Amino acid sequence: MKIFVLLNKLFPKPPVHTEDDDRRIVNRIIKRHATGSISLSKGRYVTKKDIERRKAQLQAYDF
Amino acid sequence: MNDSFPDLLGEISALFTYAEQKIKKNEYFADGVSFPAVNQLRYVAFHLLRAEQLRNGDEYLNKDGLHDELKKAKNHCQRAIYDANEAGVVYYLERIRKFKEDYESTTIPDIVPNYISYLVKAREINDFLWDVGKKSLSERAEGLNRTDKEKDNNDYQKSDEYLIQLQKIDDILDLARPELNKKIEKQREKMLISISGLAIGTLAILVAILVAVYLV
Repeated sequence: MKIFVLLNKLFPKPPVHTEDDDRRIVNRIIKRHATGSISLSKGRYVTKKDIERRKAQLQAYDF
Repeated sequence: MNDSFPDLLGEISALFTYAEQKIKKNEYFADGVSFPAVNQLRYVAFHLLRAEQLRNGDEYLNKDGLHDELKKAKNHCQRAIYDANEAGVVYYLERIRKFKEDYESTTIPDIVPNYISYLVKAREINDFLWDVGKKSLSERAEGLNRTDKEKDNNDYQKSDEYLIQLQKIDDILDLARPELNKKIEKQREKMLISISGLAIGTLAILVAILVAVYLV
């Protein structure tokens, strides 16, 4: 493990920030602040972006 | 269609209630709260407030403006119903897709006689979703607000029908799962018996050959 730490110090890499990270942060904020909706407080919600992505995946699928 | 102020308000109220019910229902049965649908209801409130302003303010005589605002509110209600249904439809289509992938190795029509027609229906509904999305995009590109238009108002009714049909299909497919699992188990057992029979046969032949070679 120490070798990896050393290697990282010798050859530093920029931090990787993905869309999943953003999603996780948004999800945490919604869960924390949602009141009056069980679904939202559990983090169960669908955004336009989610729907469009899933629709595109379904369109590519041959039923 | 009646276009007077109270009639339009009545229609909007009924559609709003229906949209709310749809959002709630899909929230519990599908993937959670549909933000696009909730957003549409927000626009309804905005247009209703604008209409009220026009009715009570200086522009009292601007009947066309008032009528337009109410029409927009009504169309946003319909769009809210469509968006709530869309989330449910996508959810059920994904479940049907999962079912198809899970039982790829077996013949399903023995257990579910109408399986092919269900898949045809799923394809039809999938195309419908795509068509509505494409229409919406092209109209936005042309600078038109889709909710301002009357011509596609039946999309929300169609999505309602489609959601009910998909729920039924999903129920049937879900009920067929245990029977299909039994069928796969039997197929597996048969295959194991055949393979072990073949292996024993091959082994017996090899032993016979070896015995023959040593004895001769």
